[in-house]
Amino acid sequence: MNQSRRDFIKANAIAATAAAAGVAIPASASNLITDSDKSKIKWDKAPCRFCGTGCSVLVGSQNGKVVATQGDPDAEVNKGLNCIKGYFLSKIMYGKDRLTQPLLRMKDGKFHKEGDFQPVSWDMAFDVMADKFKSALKAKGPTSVGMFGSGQWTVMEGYAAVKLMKAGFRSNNIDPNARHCMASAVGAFMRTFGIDEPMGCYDDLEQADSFVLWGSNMAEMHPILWSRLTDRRLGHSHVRVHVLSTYKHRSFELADNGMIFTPNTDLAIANYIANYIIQNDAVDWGFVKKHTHFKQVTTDIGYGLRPEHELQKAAKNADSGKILDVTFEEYKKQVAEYTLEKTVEISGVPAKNLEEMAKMYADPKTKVMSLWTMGMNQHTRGVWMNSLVYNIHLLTGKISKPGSGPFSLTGQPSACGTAREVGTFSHRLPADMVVKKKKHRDYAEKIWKLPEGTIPAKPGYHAVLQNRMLKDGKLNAYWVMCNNNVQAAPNLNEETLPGYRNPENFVVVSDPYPTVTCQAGDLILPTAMWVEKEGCYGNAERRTQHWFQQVKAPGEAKSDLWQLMEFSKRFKIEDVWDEALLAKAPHLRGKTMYDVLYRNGNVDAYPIEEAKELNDDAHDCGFYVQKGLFEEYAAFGRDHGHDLAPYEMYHTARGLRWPVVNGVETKWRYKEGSDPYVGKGKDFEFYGKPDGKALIISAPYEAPPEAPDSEYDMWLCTGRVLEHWHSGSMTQRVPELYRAFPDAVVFMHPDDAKKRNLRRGDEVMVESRRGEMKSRIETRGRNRPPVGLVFVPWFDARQLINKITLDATDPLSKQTDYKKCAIKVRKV
Amino acid sequence: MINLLEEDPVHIAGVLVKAFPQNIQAVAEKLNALPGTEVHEVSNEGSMVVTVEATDKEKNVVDIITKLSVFEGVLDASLIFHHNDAGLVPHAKNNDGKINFK
Repeated sequence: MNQSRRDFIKANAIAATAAAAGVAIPASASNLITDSDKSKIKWDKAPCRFCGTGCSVLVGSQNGKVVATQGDPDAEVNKGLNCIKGYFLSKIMYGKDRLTQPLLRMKDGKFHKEGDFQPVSWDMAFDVMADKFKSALKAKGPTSVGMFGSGQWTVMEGYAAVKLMKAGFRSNNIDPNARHCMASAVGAFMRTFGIDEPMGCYDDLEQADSFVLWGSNMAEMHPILWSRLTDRRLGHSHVRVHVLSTYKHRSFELADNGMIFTPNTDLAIANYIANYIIQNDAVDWGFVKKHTHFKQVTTDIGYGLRPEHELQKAAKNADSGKILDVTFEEYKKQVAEYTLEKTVEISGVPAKNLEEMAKMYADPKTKVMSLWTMGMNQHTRGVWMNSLVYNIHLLTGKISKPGSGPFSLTGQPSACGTAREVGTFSHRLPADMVVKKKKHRDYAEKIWKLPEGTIPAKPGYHAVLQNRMLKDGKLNAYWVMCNNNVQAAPNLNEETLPGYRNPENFVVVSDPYPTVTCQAGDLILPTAMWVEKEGCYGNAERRTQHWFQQVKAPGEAKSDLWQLMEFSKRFKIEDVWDEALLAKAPHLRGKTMYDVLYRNGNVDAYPIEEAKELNDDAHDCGFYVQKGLFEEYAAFGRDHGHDLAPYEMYHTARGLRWPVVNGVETKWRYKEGSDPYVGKGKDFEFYGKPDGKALIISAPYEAPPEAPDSEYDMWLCTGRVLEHWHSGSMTQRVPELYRAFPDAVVFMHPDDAKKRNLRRGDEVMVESRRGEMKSRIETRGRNRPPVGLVFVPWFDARQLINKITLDATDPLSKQTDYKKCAIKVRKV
Repeated sequence: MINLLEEDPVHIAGVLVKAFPQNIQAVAEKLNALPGTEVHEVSNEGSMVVTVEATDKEKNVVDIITKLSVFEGVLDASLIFHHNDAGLVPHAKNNDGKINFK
């Protein structure tokens, strides 16, 4: 048969796609041959480097470079599929401007805050850096040093960083970029259930009868999960999809019930649903009586702004997270305010649509999955809002059952695994423990073999506070690792930049690429990424996934783990601990911080022979450092609800969902029969709480801190697009993805454009009270905002939308609200 | 059978596209009319097997895929297979259908 090469490749494409679609392979492609012997590609597995879905990809490397990736057909998460970003993973490491040596701002051969970046050796970089950290410690103590970390760190890196900051430097000023993304979800999980992270798993997607997207645009942000949800909807005619958002987006294509609501009024909508359930006698009393308590929040809690801000001064109970007991009757009265009429009026959603959704939630026969991400978390009442959705599921007993449950999605590959489970937050320790509790600090100090009192009890500076403290000159030696916070943090002009460029401060930035954060820093450290090191991530369904190093990093680039541990060698323990603490552990005198933290008999317990030949971090240490860190960390969670499997198991499995007890993962937590921690005969047990009961927490609608007025007359909502991930520092360097969506645009309703005499493609200035940004108008395309709202993606480093956003946060979770502030748009 | 030296460079992607069964035929026809796009199979459950090829006008297949994924009536588009001549053949499977890690 004479077949052209083009036909052959096309037949391959058809066959692979047909297989993934589950449709019969067309005859033309049935004689597909894949001949691996002719290619010298080595294939191995790794979780994707982008979002929190946790797709497994097959990584092909050849001659020391990653040359191909593809969806892993044996992975439960993605079943061989990839989104477009995932498909181009192989190219993220090979951007033309990859950093390969440390760069320091210098004048006349030495460091100068106003100098230009010049290449230096690692030795010189660490010398200058250690000197700056030591002077800050000497002048102002541990609270003057800090670190901003990441939900993209591997579990081991995050863990090593927590130890370095909290036990080494004795500073709780470490926070992850996950503060911008998941903190509200964490806050509500802890308040409601006493344990972080979803009770269900992705298997729910194949079993639910209805889906509700609370502000999430899954079609673009979690395409693989969306594809599973789409399959469920298309394959089962009774399945319904409800989509709530402040603007129309791609997920509305599949929606049976699409709803556009006025920003912040999701609080009212959730309360209306609870009211509907009660009024229509749809409360599952058997469940509610046995497994829940009723509570209410303290109201009027402010907006997490600086204390001198007018709105903070006006708040009666600023920052109060106190919850009070209420009876069911009192709760019923509180939600009774949210009648259909009132909710229609507040939210702008038609009565018919609201009722349809409420009826579905109330129907005991309908299994429902509620899904959300940033819309609910980046919200000045984010913790309240998360709770209001839990209330609906708890009132109806639709939780911890296959196909039924609230499901908080995540935006980063290890927001769960590293930021949350390891506890890289300013108030946390591993396995949901917190620095405030003496019992928890004691536990950590015991595992770490450190004297009592090593870990400070006071929570450190959280993300937004770190930038304020940099500006105020209270945080002076600062390390930003594995994130791009100058682009990501709110209110760039008034907080971030003045903080980074404050002459009192020394800012170190570790990254593979010269991001805007690097440019705002003083020392740039070139960083190894993804499969250039061994590591593991934890995804949104509690799945921990490992990978081996597969290629070497370019030039002198080193992993975050190497950087953290190598830097710790520059300090004698006397440099960082006071005499009182040293007196409790005289045997540690004279040792380096590295010896105390990482050569403690745990981290260095596994010999180098156990590690792969290609494992630069392990070979630099002389022991299997990743396994040692992982096993020491796992000791925090084993036997109390966070059990991880032995290290080796993860290298063969496509991830395992914790708690993993006796080698078996847990799909649905808190349900007898599927969760080994639930006592016999209990049916359900929310064992994060002492009495095993979850909380139904009442919270009212409260107004947002800023809303459009006569001068700033529109809402601004920020977010992502399919092709780019977060600040675009990786995806903007993949030529195919860059060309697919090169520049950010302002999505606007055609009537709003007309009113401002604007046409599609016109250059405009977007302005808020804090700053302005030039962009172009898009009145068509994938996002269709209603009149009065614009949507701007934040991936574009040349269009920094965070010059405009407000640094208001949820006062409880300290997470920024990037989804609403007041702006105006004018023609340039 | 296949002579790598005699052929022009090839850049092809296989994309799994989803639409509601009731209008999948209409969507398929519209997609077929796009330059560089070819619909091969349409299932009753709402899936289409589509290939996308670089053309003189659209040199970047990703641009075409982006167009597909935001096309009216398209619910979801997943890139399944991608080949360009800088790229490589798919992975190998063992006889049991499992991926060979070595």
